[in-house]
Order: sequence, then C-alpha cells, then structure tokens
Amino acid sequence: MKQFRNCGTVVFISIIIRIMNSPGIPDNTTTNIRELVAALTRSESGKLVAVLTRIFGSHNLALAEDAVQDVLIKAIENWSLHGIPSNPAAWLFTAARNKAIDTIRKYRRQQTFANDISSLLESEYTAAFTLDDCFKEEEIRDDQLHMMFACCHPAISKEGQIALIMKTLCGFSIPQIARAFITSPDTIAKRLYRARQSFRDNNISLEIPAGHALQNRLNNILETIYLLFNEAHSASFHETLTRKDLAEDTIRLCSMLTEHEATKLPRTDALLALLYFHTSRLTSRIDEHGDLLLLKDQHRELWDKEMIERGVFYLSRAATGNEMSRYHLEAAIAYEHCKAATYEDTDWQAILNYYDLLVKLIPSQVILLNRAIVIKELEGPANALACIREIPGINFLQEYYLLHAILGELHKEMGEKETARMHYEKAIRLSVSETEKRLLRKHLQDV
Amino acid sequence: MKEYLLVFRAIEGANRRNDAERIVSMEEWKNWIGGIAATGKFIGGQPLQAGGRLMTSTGITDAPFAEGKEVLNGYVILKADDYKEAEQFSKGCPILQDKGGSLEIREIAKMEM
Repeated sequence: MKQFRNCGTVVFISIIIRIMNSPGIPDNTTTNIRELVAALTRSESGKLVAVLTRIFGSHNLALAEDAVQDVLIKAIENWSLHGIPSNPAAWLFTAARNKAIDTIRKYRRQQTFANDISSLLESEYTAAFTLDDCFKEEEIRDDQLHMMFACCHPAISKEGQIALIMKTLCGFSIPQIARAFITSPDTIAKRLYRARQSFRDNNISLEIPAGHALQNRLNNILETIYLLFNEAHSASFHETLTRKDLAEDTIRLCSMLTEHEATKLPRTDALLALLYFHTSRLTSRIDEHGDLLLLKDQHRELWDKEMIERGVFYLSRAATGNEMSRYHLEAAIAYEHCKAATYEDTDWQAILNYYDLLVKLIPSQVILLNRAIVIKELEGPANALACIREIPGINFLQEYYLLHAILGELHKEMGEKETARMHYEKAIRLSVSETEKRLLRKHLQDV
Repeated sequence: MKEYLLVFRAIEGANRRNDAERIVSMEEWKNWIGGIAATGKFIGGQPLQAGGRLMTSTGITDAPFAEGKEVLNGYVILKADDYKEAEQFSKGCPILQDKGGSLEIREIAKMEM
C-alpha cells in the first residue's frame, strides 16, 4: 500500500505499457480495455472515492484514493487476462468492496476508520453487512454530496477546492489537472497535498451541514462549481476534450445538488440552467482549425438543442420563490443568446436589463465591462466607450487583456485605426492563451 | 463505566448452516451488535474459527474440541454501567438461538497499579 501511494501512477502506466507490449493479446482488446478503464475512471472513480472515504473516514482520504487506484489497476490486469466482464462498473464496485475489507483487516489494529461505523467495520461479525449498506446506490449518491461539501470546506483554499473536486469527484489525473491549468504536475500535487492536509487538520466531516451553515456552505459549493466551469470555458484552459468533460462534470455535480432535498434551492437550479446554456454552445466556439469563434460568427445550428431545453426547464424551476441570485441573471442572459435565431435577432434590451440588475447585485468592473458590450450593440461604439470610461476603478483592469480587446474593437468601429491597433497589440501581449492571441491577431490585421 | 467481555459458546458441529441460513444469522449478529454500537458502547469482538490448539505444561493437544461438546466460538467487548446493563445488552444475542448456545458475561478487571 505504501509504495503504491508514492508511485501509483508510475505502476499504472507501466502496467498499461506491459499490457500493450504483450504479444499474446490482440491489439484492439488492449486498446479497448485501456479506453474502457479510462472512461470508467472518469465516470465511476468519483463514486468509489466518495464511498471509500465515507468508510475509511475523511482523515483517510489518501487511503481511499489509493484503494481506488489499486482497483483500477486490478481491473486492467484482470480484464486483459479474463476478458471484459459483462458489467464492468459493477465489477469495479465489487472489487472496491473487497478492497475495503482487505484494507480494514490490514489496518484495523493501527487506526480507526469512519467514526460512526469504525467498530462495526473492525468486527468480522458486522463488517460485511456494514460495508454492503455503504455500497447501496442512494448511500453512494449521498456520499458524493457529502464529499462535495467536504471538498468545498472554507478551510481549503479556492484553488485547492477546485483541484480536489477534479481529482476526487471527477477522476482527473494530476497531469490532466496540471495541463488544464497550464501549471506543473508538481504544483497540483502540492495543492492536493495541502488540501488533504486540511481534511485531517480541520477534522472535516462528511455530511450535509444543517441550518444556517448549510446556506453558506452551499453558496461556497455553487461558487466553486461556477469557477470550475469558468475554467473549462476560459480560453486559457487547454485541451478541447478535457474542456468538454469538465463542463459535463460540473453539470453532473450540480444536478446532484438539484436532486437533494437540502440543496435544491432556486439558486442551484439557476446555476444548472446557466451551465446547460453555456455548454450547449461549447462545440461551436471552436472552428475546424481550432480557432476561437465569436458569438456572432458561430454556427447556431450546432448548438445543442436538448441542453438548451434542459436549461429552460431548470431556469423555470429557479423562478419559483423570490430569490434572485447572480446565477439567475447570468442564466437569463445566456438564455437570451440561446433563443436568438441569429445574432441580429438578439434582444439586447432584455440583456441590458439583466446586466443592470446584475451590476446592482455585484458591482464588479468585469461585469460593467461586459455591460458596455451590450451598450455598443444598442447605442453604438461611442456610447460604449463612454460607459467604459465611467466604470469606477477601471484602472484596475489596465492589465486585463479583455479590456484592450474591447477597446480595440470599439476604436476600430469608430474608424480610429491607430488607437485600435495599439489596444489590440496590448491585448495580444496580455493574453496567456495561444488561441486567443490568434483571434486577436486576426482582428489586428483587419484594422 | 465498566467494560465487559461476553464469551459465546455453542455445541460444535450442531449449528451448521446452509448459505441462506448463514446470511440470516450474520444479519442477526449485525443487528444485535449494531444496536449496541448505536448506543456507543460496542468496543469490539470477533467470531472464532472452529478447531484450535490446547496448550498445557505437558504439551499441545490438537483439535481437542470434539463434536457434540460446547466450545468457545466468539467474543464481544462492550461498555456498561453494571452487570444489569450488560445483561440487558446480552438478551438479544443470537448465540442464544444456537443449539447449546450460551453467553458468559465477565467484567474486565482493572489491576491495581
């Protein structure tokens, strides 16, 4: 167990390589198994980590993650020898249950597991039934919710929360997370280490908080999901494939919140609606050359109608009650874009109204900047420019590429080519994303 | 709060079960111990495998536990205020359903130090 903890990934990779090189097995089977396990890692490992953490206790999060890693390795080994079982996911859950028994037998003299059931797990009289209870479907669903609350505990830094959710609940590997945030695996590993440390130090319990604490903690989760989703959408986020996966994951996590009595509040529904509206347009944002497309250049027939419908469903559910969160307003804005058949059909006045409400709720410079774009559509570039000049503390955005990209566009439309070029150049300098830079260079050439 | 050891005995070989019966029996044990654990007073306990070795100063006897005899087959340690409470917990113990099943309650001694 100990050596796995340190080199689990290395072992994992070496086994894959071994299997790939073994002559006895046809190539396609190996590839199938590898792809299947990769897919299952993404879809099931979050559940497995959640249930094993519930069993071992939050102080044993690392133990639970290692156990899941072992189960996945065993799956690759076993399946390449004996073939893929008829229900691979069920196989993983059985293997995880057996792994849990082994782990408990091995460590029951040295340490305790989840407080409320530790003594029952340690006794052979009760271990099997206690574990079976933990592996019931509705229990596992709740475990994931509890895990979400634990991962978004205020004692953990925001970036730690995001990394932890991606690792434990979404089944991303450390290198994948690192690539996504354009940082080194080492940085992510440290971030995760510190987050797990907080689990221990703060004795973070796996439960849905009650009463007033629930409100704050739920807000925190929604914010983290929202940030995670924004990361998936930001142009600085690498890899198209992971982007889509991550967007779908945030939908899955938020859906779980909308299904639970304690967490299905209007603002949860509103966030889910927002996620659906944005994700529906995800594939149309990039053209066949991997270049970014602006909203007005996107092929609207590529937008996912089913997702938009789901978004509408949750937006209407969010409208029950008298709560008006930022997610309500942002979802409403996103919906205005989704329902416009063409760019010219966009109801900019409605969007402006939502922005005005949003600004009242969150007077942020970035939101005011986005509002100025709406003003441009309604009243022309000169008024938009005036709006930007009036944004209090606009100087704080001087190093924000988007400000200069927008200024470049406004000045271009007003025929002030020199100023437009200057702003575009500055935007290119400030942007960290290659795709974004390519788009900006194209605009610069058009001036 | 004192600690008590519950020692279980039953007639060796007289309580063989098929798979279905074994599951029912395990569930009974789980419910009984789960009930004690719910009060926070279950400390631990394990069932024992049949057979064994008996060692005395004259040597080791192999498998001394003949069929038809009452043999030790498990134990539980729990917390209780007194014998009365320990007895109360013991009443629901599934061992009492077994042929020749019995339960011995012993308070764990605190040695003078």
